[in-house]
Amino acid sequence: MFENIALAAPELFTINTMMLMMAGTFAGLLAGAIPGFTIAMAVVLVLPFTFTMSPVQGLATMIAVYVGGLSGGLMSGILTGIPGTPSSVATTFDGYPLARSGKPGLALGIGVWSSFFGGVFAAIVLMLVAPQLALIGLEFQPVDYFALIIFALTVTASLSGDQMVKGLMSGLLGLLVATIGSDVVFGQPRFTFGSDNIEQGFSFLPVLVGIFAFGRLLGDVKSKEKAHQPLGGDTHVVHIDYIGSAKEVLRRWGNVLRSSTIGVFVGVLPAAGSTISNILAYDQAKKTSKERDQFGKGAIDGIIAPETANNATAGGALIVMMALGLPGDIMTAIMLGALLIHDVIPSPSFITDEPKIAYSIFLAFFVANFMMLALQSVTLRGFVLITRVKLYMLTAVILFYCALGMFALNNVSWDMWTLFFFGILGFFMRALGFPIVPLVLGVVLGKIAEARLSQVFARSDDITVFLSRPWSLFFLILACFSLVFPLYQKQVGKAAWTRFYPPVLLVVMAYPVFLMPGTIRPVVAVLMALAGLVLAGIQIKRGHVPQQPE
Amino acid sequence: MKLTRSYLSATVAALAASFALSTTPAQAVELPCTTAKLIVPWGPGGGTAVIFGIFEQAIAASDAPTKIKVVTIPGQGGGAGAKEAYAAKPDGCTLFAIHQHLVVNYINGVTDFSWDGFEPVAMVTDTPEILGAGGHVEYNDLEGMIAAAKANPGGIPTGVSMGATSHFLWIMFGAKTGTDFAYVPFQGGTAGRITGLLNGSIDLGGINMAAARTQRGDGALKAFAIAADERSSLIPDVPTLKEMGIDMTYSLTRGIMLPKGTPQDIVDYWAGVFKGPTEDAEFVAQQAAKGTAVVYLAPEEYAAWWKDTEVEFLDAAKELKVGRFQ
Repeated sequence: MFENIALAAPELFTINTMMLMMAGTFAGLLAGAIPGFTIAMAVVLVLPFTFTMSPVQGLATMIAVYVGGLSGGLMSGILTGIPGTPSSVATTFDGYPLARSGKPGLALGIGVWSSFFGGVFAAIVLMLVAPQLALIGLEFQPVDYFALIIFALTVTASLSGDQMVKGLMSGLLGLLVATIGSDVVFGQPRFTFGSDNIEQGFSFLPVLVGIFAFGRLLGDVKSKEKAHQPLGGDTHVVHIDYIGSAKEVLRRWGNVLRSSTIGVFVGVLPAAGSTISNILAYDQAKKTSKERDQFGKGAIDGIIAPETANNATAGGALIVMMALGLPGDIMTAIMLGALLIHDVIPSPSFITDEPKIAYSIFLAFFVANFMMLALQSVTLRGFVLITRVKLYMLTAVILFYCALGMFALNNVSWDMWTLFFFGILGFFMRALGFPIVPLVLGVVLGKIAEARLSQVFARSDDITVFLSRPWSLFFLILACFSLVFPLYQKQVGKAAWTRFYPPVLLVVMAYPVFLMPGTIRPVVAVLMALAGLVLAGIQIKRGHVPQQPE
Repeated sequence: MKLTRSYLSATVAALAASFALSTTPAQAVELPCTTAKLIVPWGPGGGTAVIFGIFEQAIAASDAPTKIKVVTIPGQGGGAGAKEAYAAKPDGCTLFAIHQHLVVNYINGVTDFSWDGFEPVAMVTDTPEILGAGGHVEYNDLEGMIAAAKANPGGIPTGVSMGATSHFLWIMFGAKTGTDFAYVPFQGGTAGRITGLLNGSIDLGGINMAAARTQRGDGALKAFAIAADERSSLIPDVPTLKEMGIDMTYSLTRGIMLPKGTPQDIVDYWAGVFKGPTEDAEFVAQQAAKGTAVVYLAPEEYAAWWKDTEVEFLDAAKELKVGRFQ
């Protein structure tokens, strides 16, 4: 491995390449920070410039844009409550409240450091076990994807909190919206009422930006007094405490590790991506945190989880792109195109055949994270200035950029109308107390779920495959436990059955893991089952002791 | 070998062009824009976007007075971009990059117009399809595959974009060989289909040159035949369908169209602009590395090609009663 790094380093560490990477990171940060502009857009814009560069140089530049974009999203997410990119949706849940409660500096610092650690973790994983990990991604058949999406949808339950029924309504509405337009298999019009515009469907990005940005901004300028307030409330000077926030992040290393792992894992699955990983990581952080009631009000763990996960996902997606030649998201799809232009073709043997390029990609990803950190310390200073801008001005400017960004992505003017309609819908949903994240999840996941399900049933009508394939079973069981979790949380320590929730989870989950190929996972499964049984034994021995209410 | 040949033909063509240049009126056309938009009806990173991205670069470097910019308009299986191009002003400032899918969209009823809703400008590239399989299938060659398909009619899971060109590949192959397959919808391009082949969720499917070049060495994929006239120098061990006694070629043939009613001199102007890069050896080599041959056809020949292609597709569609022929 080290000789490969030594081989790649001289190629990468040239003044030219470093300058290009710096410029790329900056461009990514900027694009990520502007609400409505996406990383995909930034990478597409940069792509033509890389045609004339050497493969290593071109790829390094694109990776820099990618990493910059992922972290840029956190700035607008935290300061304005509008996710700059879909991968930072969950960042707004706690980042925005924390910033509004007078600690924007802390929130931003934590976001930046989390991004950094997530990225570095993924880079290290990338260098150590890329090929092995990529093969796990390949184990995922349509059945397994469908089960994974079902699991992701159950996150709705925990994200809705007390508003369970409203959350479910919102999620189902999202799934319904995903069916409008042309069907995913034949492209036939569906629920369009004969309108050519509706036939283009509601793409999830305009829906997302409309609901989050437009809907939120409408609420912000509801009354005249509110509209004349600056965004940051009364805070005048924003001080970003880098060392303090770094310590806060490191103190929660368990969360960093877990979220990075979730991020890399989701990244490894072709066509999943950071849109899903940031929400999954947030959900897991919420379920395991001791400060659960702080979530949604500005919990530090709630910022760490999504920001770590989305940068780690980038690493996972790179693994699959290089090892299998399969793009995990739009960014890696474009990178793959760039590789092919230079006649470099990824494959399982790519890393051994082309060590120079492969390790340049690893290194570039690693280095880009440091560049992001360095640049963020400058750009953040500029960006926090927007907290002094009065809301009515900010609203107009942000909406303009959102509309522009949505149009530029697919060059479809209908997307701007989608933004408008869902902005209004978002405003009313918020006003009536409906959680909006389930709706977004429904729109994002609905189409993928439908495509996967149709693949399953095109092969056979046999529904037992959902139970006979290990990964599918794994996620379906996880989905069941995830659904019961809010109930468990409420009654833990009070009802007898809650004592057996963790051991039963361990034992039951051990079964699908045991069925998986290889030797490591079956061994892990046996350990899981044993641990579960021991836990259960302890609980039985101790007997039921009802806790006194505090 | 292939490279020298294409290099030679490029040189010859370049010579011919330099004679022709003095007589073409192309340079005289003045367009109302300095950059024309080239609509690609699929997403960025896809085959068409990448191929015409290379064109964009080449034309930007040339002395053509009007440059192009690739604008990707994905959606409705290529229908959204086609409609946009169809409705554009015929002033030479909106071009449309497309392949056989234009006819397929018409057959499926996604659009109400076929190729003749546009003015053909030039055919530029040709990417033959490769009949591939996952490494897990038992058979190792085309004969084995056909035998397996005959033993299990309509049973072998085959990944296609339903109703798209990758679907018609197998429909036409089936019509020629008397076989039928179980189609599994893998919409949205080759990458998803190759994942399906690699992980065994499908057995057969069209694969691209990149995958055929690398993944076969590892035994993860198999390639049975290439639907071209000649074998490819990049994968010389893969036979053509014709060699195997099946009279069929099938490739994605990409070209440029203009909205209906565009004046002839503008059509000729753009035909000239797109001809330029196709005569550049480095450009040809760049495309060849992606398994794409550079094949230039002038407006009239391109129109004739569309006419033949449409008949071929309509016949297949009528015979199988798909799309609007149900």
